[in-house]
Amino acid sequence: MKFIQIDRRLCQACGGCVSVCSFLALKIEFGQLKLNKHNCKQCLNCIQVCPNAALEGWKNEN
Amino acid sequence: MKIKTDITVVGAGPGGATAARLLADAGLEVLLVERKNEIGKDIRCAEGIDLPTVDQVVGKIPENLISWPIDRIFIDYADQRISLNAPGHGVILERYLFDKYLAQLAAKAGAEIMLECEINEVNLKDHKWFLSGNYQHQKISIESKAVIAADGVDSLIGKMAGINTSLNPRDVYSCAEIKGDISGREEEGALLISLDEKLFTGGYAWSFPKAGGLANIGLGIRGDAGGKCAKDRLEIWLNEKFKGVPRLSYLVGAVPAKKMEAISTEGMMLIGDAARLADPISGGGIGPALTSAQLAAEVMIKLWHKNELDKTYKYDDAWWNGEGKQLEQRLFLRNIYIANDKKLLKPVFEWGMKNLDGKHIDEFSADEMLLGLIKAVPVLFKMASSIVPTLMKMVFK
Repeated sequence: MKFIQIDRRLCQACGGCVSVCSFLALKIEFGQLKLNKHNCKQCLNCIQVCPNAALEGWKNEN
Repeated sequence: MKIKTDITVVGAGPGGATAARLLADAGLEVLLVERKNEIGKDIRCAEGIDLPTVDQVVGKIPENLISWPIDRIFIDYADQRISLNAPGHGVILERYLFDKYLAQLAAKAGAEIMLECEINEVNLKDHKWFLSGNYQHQKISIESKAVIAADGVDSLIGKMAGINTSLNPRDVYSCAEIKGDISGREEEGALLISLDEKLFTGGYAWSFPKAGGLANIGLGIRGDAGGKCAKDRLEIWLNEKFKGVPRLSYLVGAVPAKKMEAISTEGMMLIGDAARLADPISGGGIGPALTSAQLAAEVMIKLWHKNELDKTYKYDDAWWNGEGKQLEQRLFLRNIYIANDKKLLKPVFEWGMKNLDGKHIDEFSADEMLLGLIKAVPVLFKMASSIVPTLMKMVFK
């Protein structure tokens, strides 16, 4: 299973990724990007548009 | 905490504040909620706008909100540069102050502003909207008959209300920008647009002049460009054109370029970036935010008095038959451009170099330019035959 990983050192919470998420899996809350793993369908749109390359998909060890 | 009001406006950017002002002016009870603790903070914007739009929607604004009036434009491609004189058209704003000014006008008109108010749930019950979230870290619920969602590019209000505002990566510009000190350089005080098929895939790079020798220097690329991210591409370009420029800030953002099927639902209207209303070619979002705010408020007031808040689709119709038409036409051009940029950019630039360089921007109209281009650039002429109906509409609108 692939999950989106947010690199907090790079993420500026600009919200670009939120605009391409059809599943309400991403949102900005209290100035930080939050991922709701239950909603994420791993479409990886968010990874494509991130201006800072702050998002990546990673393979869960399980 | 529970609050009841006539209309809630979510987001206190230029669009939200303008809608709040106009609704309050009409005598409605308006709550303007903003999730940040300061209006005008952390602006993700290159700050350019044409002044007539501001004049039309806001009126004359104080001088100090204008950082720099644009009078020269440079357009770069490869090693060549087109220079244009363009006084009296656009300005670069001080958004930090501009947004505060618009919110101040809204407050003066009677709108109530709530900072640090973040909405994370919306529900429609008995023709009333219930918004809930946090206000200064306490739970809050706001009941209102109508909602204007002006919550920006990462808008969730519309999505939560069932309006599909999700974009494809190809319908987003992924942007990165620094504020730099370019004093003493040739570009100081000039608006620079830089084109390159590879480095700025589907987009462009810019330097927008600000007071004191500063400039917003950035770029936007298609969200599906692949390869290097916007930030890395910006570094490459800065290294080429603005090497050694002292940096005062670095920010990123996204610009939508897509016509949504709906920008309203019962008792709710979306405006500005939340409705994906930005110029698909320039990326300018302040103008469409202001004009959509004005129209949304106008339609909302009419529906309110007729007790027809379920007919918010009238805002969609009015927008796409009015101001929105131009955005739609530019979206059409954008899509032609991004599908053909490798073939188009060079000949179009060469035409510009021959016909535009050194001239005053008022010497030619957009229609003349388009027709001149089609005649002069063979690829465009060939394409034009397949897009004649739409082009005719654009030229003879």
